[in-house]
Amino acid sequence: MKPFDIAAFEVGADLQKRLGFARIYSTAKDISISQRSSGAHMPTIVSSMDPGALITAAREPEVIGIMPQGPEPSRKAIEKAAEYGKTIFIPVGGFTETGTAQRQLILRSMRKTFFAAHSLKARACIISLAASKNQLLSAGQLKGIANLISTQQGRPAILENRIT
Amino acid sequence: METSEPVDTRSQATARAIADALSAEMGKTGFLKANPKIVLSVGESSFIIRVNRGSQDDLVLASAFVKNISGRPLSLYTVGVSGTIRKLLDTARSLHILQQNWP
Repeated sequence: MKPFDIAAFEVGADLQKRLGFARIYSTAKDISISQRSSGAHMPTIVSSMDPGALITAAREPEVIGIMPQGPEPSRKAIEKAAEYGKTIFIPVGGFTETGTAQRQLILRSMRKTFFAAHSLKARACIISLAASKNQLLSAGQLKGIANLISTQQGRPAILENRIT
Repeated sequence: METSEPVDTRSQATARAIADALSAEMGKTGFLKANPKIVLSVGESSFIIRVNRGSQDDLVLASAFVKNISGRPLSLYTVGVSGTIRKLLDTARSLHILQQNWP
C-alpha cells in the first residue's frame, strides 16, 4: 500500500506519483491545521504545545489527529488521542533543513513523541508538512527518516502512514 | 534520483556538487563506504546514482537532508531504488521522466 503525505501547498499529481505517494494532501485544501479545533468542516489536525488543548481536540469528531509541539510531548494528550482513535502526527520537513547541532535535539524530541505513542498504543504518522518544494520528501526518504526516528537499540522500525 | 529544480545533471561540475552535498551529510567515512557515483543522466533533472550494496538506505537518508547544492536551494528526491539500471529506466519511463523511445 502506497503511503500518504501532507504538505502545506498543493503538489501536482505528476510530482506526487514520482515521489511515490498515493496522495499528498494539502493543508490549503484538504486538511486544516490549527491550534485548536474550531468546528471546521474539513478534517483538522490540532498542533499545540498546550496539553489541555490537545486533550480537548482529541474528543472532537472533525479532528483526525494531534501534533504535539515542544521538546517534551504530553503523555496524557497522547493517551487521550489513543483512546479516541486519533493519530499522532510528527512533521519532519523542517527537521531536514536544520543545522547539525539542532538536528540531534529535534530528533530526540521526535523519538520521545514516537515512543510515547508506541507505548500508549496510539497510531503515529510521520509526515513532511513541507512548506515548499525544497522541503518535500519522497516516500523512500520519509521511510528512511521514520526508521531513524523509530529505531533505537535494535528495536524494529515501525511506519504507518495511513489517513482514514 | 531527481532534483527539485532542473539542473544539468550531465555536467561534471553538477556531479561534483551533488557528491559534495552527499558527502557532507554522510560523513567522509560513510561516503567512502557507499562510494556513490552518477552513472546516467535520464532527464531534465533526473539521474541514476550507483552505490555500493548495503549503502543504499544510507544514501536515501542522506539525500533527504541535502537542501543546497553549490549555494543554490535544491533538494534531492529518490524516485526509485533497484539493483539494475534497466529496472530503473523502466521506472523512469513509467513515470514519464524518460521518453518512451530513449535507447
